[in-house]
Amino acid sequence: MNCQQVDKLLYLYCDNQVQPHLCEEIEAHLKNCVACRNNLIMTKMENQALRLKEDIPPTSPDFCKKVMASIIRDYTGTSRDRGGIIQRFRCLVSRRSSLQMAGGLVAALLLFCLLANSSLRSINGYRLENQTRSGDTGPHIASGIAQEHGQPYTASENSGITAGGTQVKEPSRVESISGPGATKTLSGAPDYSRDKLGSLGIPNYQRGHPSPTNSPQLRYIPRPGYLPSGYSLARIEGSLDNTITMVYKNKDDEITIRVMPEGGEQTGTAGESFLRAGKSKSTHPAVAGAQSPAIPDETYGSGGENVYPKVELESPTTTTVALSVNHYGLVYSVQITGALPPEELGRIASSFK
Amino acid sequence: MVAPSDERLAYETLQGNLTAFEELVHRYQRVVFTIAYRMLNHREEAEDIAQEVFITVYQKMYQFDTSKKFAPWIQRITVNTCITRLRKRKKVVLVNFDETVAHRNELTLNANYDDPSIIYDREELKDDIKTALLNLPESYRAMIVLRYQMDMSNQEIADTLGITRENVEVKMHRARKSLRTILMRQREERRNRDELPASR
Repeated sequence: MNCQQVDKLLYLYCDNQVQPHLCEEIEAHLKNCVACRNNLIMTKMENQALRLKEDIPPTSPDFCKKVMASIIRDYTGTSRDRGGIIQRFRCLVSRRSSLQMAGGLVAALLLFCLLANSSLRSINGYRLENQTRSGDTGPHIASGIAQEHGQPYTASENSGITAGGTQVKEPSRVESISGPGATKTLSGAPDYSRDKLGSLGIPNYQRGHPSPTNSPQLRYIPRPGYLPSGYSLARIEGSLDNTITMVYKNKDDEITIRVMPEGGEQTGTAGESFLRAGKSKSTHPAVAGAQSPAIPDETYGSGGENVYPKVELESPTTTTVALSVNHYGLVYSVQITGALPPEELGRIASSFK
Repeated sequence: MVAPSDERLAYETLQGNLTAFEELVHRYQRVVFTIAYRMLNHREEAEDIAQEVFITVYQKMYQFDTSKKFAPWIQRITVNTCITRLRKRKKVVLVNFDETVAHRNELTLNANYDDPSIIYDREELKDDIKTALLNLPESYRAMIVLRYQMDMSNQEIADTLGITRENVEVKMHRARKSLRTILMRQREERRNRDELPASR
């Protein structure tokens, strides 16, 4: 070991922080080197002087009080408890790792939704096939669906309408998507699970409506609580004009239900159904504020003062029933078309929630 | 009854317990003031710095990770506050850990350790050390204060300043070399001052 190497380790050697084998080498060098010995003496003297603390004056006696007074004055107001609130808030805000990560994830998700939504707008429509439903169907509120042309469907007649029919369950999963205008595009596109569809805003609510993502109650579109025996959900189609079409099939026939969100919102309990009252001359208080329906005009008959759903015989075998449904505060226009007697369609209509 | 740890008191402070923070002030006022005094060599300013440090600690308590030691955290805040104050005072930003500082000082150091007369006078050294410390760059000063006034190991200094232990060793060596150079220069100047009147 030479003088330069010893010089580098000398201050550590003075503090006994050199490894034993290096210590021996340093001591061997010091025995033969006067310069390094002098250096060692000087280093020890410096260390001693550097450790002196006698000249450090004491802090003022009221130092602690001053600090605390300053903190209480500037950060906690007059109450000591406020300090806790501020600190807790700061603590909450400062969970930077978790909050920033969560914020980043939310931002990424929103960005993804925006991009995905804009890409979906270029597609004319899409179809959700093989949908199965499960879960709570909730109470059915039938509020006067037309049993026949112009005839009110009363509550007494409505009672027990599900007894002989099939209880329809809520959709829980969408297994695939296809659509007339989108089949090709979506066939090569990534799998759109139900959750993803929910995040994409399907059904495509009109501007100003809460989206399904920010309102969990609106995750599902209105659906019938009752279906005649043998019918099951075959597919759901969605289109960019906000119309959802649900097709229920049995062996021979099918029932098509078209659901279109209207512009306005309604107060009322979830699952409440009420009657459509023409286009703009409604006497029904719940419908009076609603915007013009998205349902084609021809399904409404003469409108005017008619407060009941219009039932039309489109062909010798198919009938259409139109009504409005208040579903979790949003108003939907619903058309039910099927090769069933009008009263059966009325039962389906009355079971909407 | 066992006194609560510093980390526990920090946690209690976060919960809004000002008494816990008061206890922390009691425990650390001397440490904080000592570092500040050694860094600034001015009592009132050191006390002002100490007060500022505790207020900063209270403000930033939410940033403190209670799973880690409290002492290095508050010492780091103290050192940083002192360096900021020194820079404001000088209005010149010194380049920290600049190798040229140590290198320049090493070049000017021309001590012949073979000469026994080079060894310090013990009483003179006490005053010289204080002056020399103030002439060191802030970062070197902080290292020496933490090492010799706070009796911290290189690893503890590394934890406090947020650098590696190897880095601390290298910089400490440079700091010591710079200190030695300044001390030798002071000694030389004093000798020259003493000799000049005698030669007339």
